[in-house]
Amino acid sequence: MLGVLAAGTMIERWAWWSVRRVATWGCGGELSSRTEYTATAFSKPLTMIFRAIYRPTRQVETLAEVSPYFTQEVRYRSEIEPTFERYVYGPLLRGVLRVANGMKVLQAGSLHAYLAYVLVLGVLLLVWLGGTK
Amino acid sequence: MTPIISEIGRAFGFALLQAAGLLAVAPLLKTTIKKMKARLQNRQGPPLMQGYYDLAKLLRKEPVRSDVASWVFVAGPRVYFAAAVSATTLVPVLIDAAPLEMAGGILLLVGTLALGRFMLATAALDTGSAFGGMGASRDMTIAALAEPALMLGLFTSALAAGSLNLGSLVRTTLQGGVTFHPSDFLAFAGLFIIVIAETGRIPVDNPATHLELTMIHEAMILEYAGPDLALVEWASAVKELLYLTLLVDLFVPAGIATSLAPLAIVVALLAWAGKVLVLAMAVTVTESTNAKLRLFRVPELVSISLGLAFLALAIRFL
Repeated sequence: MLGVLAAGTMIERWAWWSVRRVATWGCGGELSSRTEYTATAFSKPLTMIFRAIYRPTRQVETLAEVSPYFTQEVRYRSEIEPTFERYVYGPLLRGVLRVANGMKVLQAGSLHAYLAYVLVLGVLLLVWLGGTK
Repeated sequence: MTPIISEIGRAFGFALLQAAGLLAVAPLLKTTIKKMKARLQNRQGPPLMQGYYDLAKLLRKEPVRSDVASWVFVAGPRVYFAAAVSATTLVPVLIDAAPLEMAGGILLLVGTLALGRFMLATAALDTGSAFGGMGASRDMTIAALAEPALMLGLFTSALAAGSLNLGSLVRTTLQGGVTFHPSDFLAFAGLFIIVIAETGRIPVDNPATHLELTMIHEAMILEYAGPDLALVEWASAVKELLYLTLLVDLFVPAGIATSLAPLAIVVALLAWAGKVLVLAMAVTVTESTNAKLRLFRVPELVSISLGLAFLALAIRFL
């Protein structure tokens, strides 16, 4: 594939055309960075198709003073349900934190208790390893 | 050392020949479908050479590019074309081996085509026009839905042959003969739907539309002109031919040459052309007897294909 690209570039060296640069066609309107396709718009079809998972909410508010035909301001709000965060990662995280909380009792215990654990462990190890001989 | 080099050399020569051959034939397929469609509507249709005239016309014109477009816009059609051309070297056409089959099989084929499509969609966003973005968004949506179904259908066939490599897949199918296994029919039906979705044919996309709001693939390439557009059109034609060839390879490889004898090659050429023509007729009839689906009905069609592929896979295990 790289070979094809390279060959194409070589051939294009002797291209017989010259490039004409013009403004992007905007149906007569002005195109600016505000009229570009956004990431939300780009992923909208997929969001709609997987409605069951993303549960999108959409709210359009038009504010008008004199008559509803002369809009002064349009407010748009759209949101998707963070399904995976809420139903997968959330419970997982809470579970891990709960277990960690339980283990805190062990970790932040008294020094004397630790020494006792070490002593008990040492004895147990000696018994266990001594038994093999 | 030398035998390996000569082998690689032969493979690349073979790859060049096959790529050139498919590039040469692809516009003919596109026009043939147009012609058959026109005949079904009692119209005369374009002459069979029209595809070549169109390409020649586009190649003679000057490319027009937006003054806000960057190198991505220029790279889009080129990468798309290169991807389609390199994909041709991974599929067996006349001989029961793909030219560069040691490079990869089904996964590489799908990946290469996806790369071209990704580049084209990125390039469509580059000019800042809303139509490009709309087309790219829709094309990516359909690709995201169709690709799993395509992979599943291909894997079903690969499972039967025990290989992901298209060359050995064809050889195994050829040795096994025609089995009329029910999973073949299901997988074929599933893949046929996907081929229609991937090539932008009518129930999914209308290749002949001039209405921007209904466009999918056409909206994505709306900003291209001249040689840039020629590359996109040519690559799309090659892709279509490639998908039909893939269907032929996977399900009815009979007739494909197993040796390099001239007679076998001629027979394989005729068989391949005939089979692709029959598939093209099926595509034409589908296109003529169906209305274009709403964009949000396309997932249903694709899920039918996904279901068929799942069933095929399940039956294969029984």
